[in-house]
Amino acid sequence: MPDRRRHFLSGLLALAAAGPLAASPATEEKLKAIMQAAAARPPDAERLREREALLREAEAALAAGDAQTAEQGFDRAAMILHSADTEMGLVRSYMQSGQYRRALAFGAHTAGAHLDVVGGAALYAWLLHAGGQDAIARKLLADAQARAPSQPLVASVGRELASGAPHASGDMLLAPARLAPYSHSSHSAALPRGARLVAAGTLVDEGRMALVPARAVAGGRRLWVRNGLGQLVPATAMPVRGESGVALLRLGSPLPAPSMGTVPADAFPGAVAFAVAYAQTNDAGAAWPLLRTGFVGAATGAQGDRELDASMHRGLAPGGPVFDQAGRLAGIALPEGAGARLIAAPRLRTAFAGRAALPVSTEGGRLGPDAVYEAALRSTLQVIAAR
Amino acid sequence: MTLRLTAGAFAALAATLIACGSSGGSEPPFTVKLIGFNDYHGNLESPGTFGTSAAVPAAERPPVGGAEFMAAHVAKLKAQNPNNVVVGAGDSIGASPLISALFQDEPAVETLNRIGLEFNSVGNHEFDKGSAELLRLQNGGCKTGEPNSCKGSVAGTPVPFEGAKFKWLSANVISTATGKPLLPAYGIKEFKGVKVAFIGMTFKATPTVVTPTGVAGLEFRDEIQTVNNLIPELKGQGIEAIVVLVHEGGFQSGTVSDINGCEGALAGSGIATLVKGLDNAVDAVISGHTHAAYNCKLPNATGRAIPVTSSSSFGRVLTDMDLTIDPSTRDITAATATNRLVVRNDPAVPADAAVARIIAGYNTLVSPIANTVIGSIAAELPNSRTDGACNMPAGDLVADAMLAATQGPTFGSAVIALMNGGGVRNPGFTFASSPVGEGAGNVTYGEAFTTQPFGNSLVTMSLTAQDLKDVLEEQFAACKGQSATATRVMLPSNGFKYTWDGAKACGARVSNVTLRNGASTETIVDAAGAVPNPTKTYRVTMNNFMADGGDGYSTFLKGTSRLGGAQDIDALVAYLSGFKAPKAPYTLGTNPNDAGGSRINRTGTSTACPTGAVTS
Repeated sequence: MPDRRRHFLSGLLALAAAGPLAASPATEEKLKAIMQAAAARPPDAERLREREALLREAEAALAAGDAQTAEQGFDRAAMILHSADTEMGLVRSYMQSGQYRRALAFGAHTAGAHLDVVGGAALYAWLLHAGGQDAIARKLLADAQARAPSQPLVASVGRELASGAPHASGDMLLAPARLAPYSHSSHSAALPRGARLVAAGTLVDEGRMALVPARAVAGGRRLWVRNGLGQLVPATAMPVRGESGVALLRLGSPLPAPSMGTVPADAFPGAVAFAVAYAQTNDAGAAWPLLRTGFVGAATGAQGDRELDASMHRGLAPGGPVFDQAGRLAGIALPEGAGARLIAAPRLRTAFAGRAALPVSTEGGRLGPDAVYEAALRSTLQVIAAR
Repeated sequence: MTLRLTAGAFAALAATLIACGSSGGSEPPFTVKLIGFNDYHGNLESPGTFGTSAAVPAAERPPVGGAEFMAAHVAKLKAQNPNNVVVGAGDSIGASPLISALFQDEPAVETLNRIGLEFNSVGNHEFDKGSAELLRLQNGGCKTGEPNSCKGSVAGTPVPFEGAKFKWLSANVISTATGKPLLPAYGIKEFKGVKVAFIGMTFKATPTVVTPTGVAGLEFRDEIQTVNNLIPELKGQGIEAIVVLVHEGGFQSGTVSDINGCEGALAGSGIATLVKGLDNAVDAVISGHTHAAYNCKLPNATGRAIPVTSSSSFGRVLTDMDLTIDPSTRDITAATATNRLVVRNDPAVPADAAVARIIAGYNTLVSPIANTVIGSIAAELPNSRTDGACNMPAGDLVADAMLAATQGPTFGSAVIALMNGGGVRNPGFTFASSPVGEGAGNVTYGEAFTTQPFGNSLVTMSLTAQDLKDVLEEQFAACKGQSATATRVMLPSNGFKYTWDGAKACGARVSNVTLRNGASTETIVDAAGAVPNPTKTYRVTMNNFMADGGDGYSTFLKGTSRLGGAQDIDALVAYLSGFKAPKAPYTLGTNPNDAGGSRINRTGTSTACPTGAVTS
């Protein structure tokens, strides 16, 4: 099949999947013309069927939590047609295997190379925002909206990003531009109706434990944790000791843990910090965490705790990790008044000594927020509770 | 028509005779190594793992790509043959990751310059932002009104933007205003007296996949006709070796796609159709656009199979092609091609450090915090010396921040901070709003980082009064071990004052060293240059570079009870947060400890701060 025809067809398929066109501004008229040109060319039906089968299988593998099989399926589909839907599948496969930077790089291409498919721009903007690049994400989305003002997905994503703590729901969870990982578990029990997000948590102790806000897990409820890859496991609260406001959960089975140490000393006022957590919502759906960048504030008390600017945690579930510029755990963010407080990692080391390993890292090399976010996909947990 | 053909034939004959004469006609065949790639799309950083085919399990695919490894692999291939050329088949820019896109794809061009790219066809994405922007990227200069253009100073690349050192080629892209190609139709490189031509172009249907404003004023002509029409012109210059770089491609059949395969011979693809129409004078085709990898030999218009390659995308694969050239005919007589992964895990091919620095530099600026306002200043605080005594407003602010960060009992208990002038980078702290629009007087994190980019940490140590006198004396060229050609006057924090006299001898220049803290002022060195209490200790903060004796301040090596502290930039951020609206801006000279004049004072009338030997 001639490649140009493939281009046209990809636009046709994606636009058809995205719904009918309501308005007819100049840009959409141009897209219509491209579609008509594409429709005049007979498709290679056999190759298209093969491609569709590969896409279905890959999507099913992703939903089952097998990101590697999904990636290979989407890869093969990409050998047949240079198309946005395949590329969005690849981007989500990368995300679900924890490769944020790869997803971002490829998402940039999908958004820029398939201007007629707004799902690519929506997905890329969402990922940029999640990784802390809000201003750029919004500009990208505005550009997409100007090109295709009648596309509901772009409008939905725009509303969510404007909220500051976006949460994907409804049509935003439909492939190919699904804006969240699939939830999956090696444990048979599914989440009961009524399960809801109660906090964020931080994976520690080589994936066996989680640090979570003590207040969120009090009351004897059933608990689960899920990481940014969609991996869900049950968890059990350990007895609370001390006054840090942080509790320990034991996971039903270990989750894959990134190589993450803690800072050797309390963070200095003025230091750049990255806070990561999940949007505060009432449902328990899988999601990608959100990273916010800011500065460590003044010291509070004698235990090394620090103020955190409220903007670093507004709209997010409490209890997420805070990292320094080297990607080391600097502490846990807990709400305090209108802002947030950083419970310093050295204090947590002391509080949980002998119960959870919180090794010190002397690696001080500066990381970009994308690298920090990539590691945080695994280490930042949703804490889910149900009666 | 006959006359023109005859003239062309004569020209070709003449060129042949000239060329044969120059080569002597008896030289043995030699090879030229052609290194090709396509669809880089500004992927300065690794796009992840990649296998030699889709059949390679994901877990077994090596990490690939990244400009620093592309540069290293290209250098390795070039080292194998001094007769080499690096070419591209378009889409080097556009649809690129943030690290390039945010900076108007200048990082893509800068890295490609250092990878060694020489000739590059345009692709459709070269027109994403229109022909004028493409010409800027070719020729250099800053993009007007774009705050993120010309940010090379942080990455160590020239400002203004240097432009592409390689030639973008656009044989079939015609400016409707001039009737000529927007960019050169071809480039020529000579090897052992034999010229090889590289014709560059994109696919004719580019306007269907680019926004209308991107291709306004341009006409995209038929690819086959464009190439074939150029053949007589090239032959007229004595050129027989011709390579086409074209942003058009295809897919192998099946779904395995070995990077050196050619399953299905790209049947029905745009590139196969294009090659089938090419004049027999074309010897090889480097293609792209589909992001596929293949290594084919496809029939041209005469049925002769010529090499046609594509190397995936995003810098994951390089095409390594050896062209055998017969000097007697000046033509390519054979070609062998291999697509090779740009792996990042081969110990024999370490990353190119210079390119890695560029990537790291731009990564710093990509930080979402770069435009965050961290504080405000009441007036310009330049990093230049503003008087003969060598005071520097920006350095005063930095020193004040260092002191503030280390005054607390758990942070060092410092009473003095000293900053080296060379560590305060251009331009200091500007009052005017930058292009990001933070507002006049406001200081962004990015601006602060530009002034303090080294990532130094603060060190607080105990020094005696005599040590303080000594370190101030060793600021001057050839004094107490200081370089014979450099005078390096430090900037002190508020409350610390001294006077120097360049007319005096080394070791006797500093006097009137005082330390004021609120209402009390103590004398560390008196007006005669004597130290009344030489063993009294003071907690003094400097950066780790100075603490280790950098800039010739060897006295700091004597410091005791050292305590490491915050990074210099953190200290600056924390300090400036105390001057962020609605709080009053930082105003030099208003600190009560600064009352009574400048921090550094000089005896005499000289108004110029010395940088070398001091004589007055």
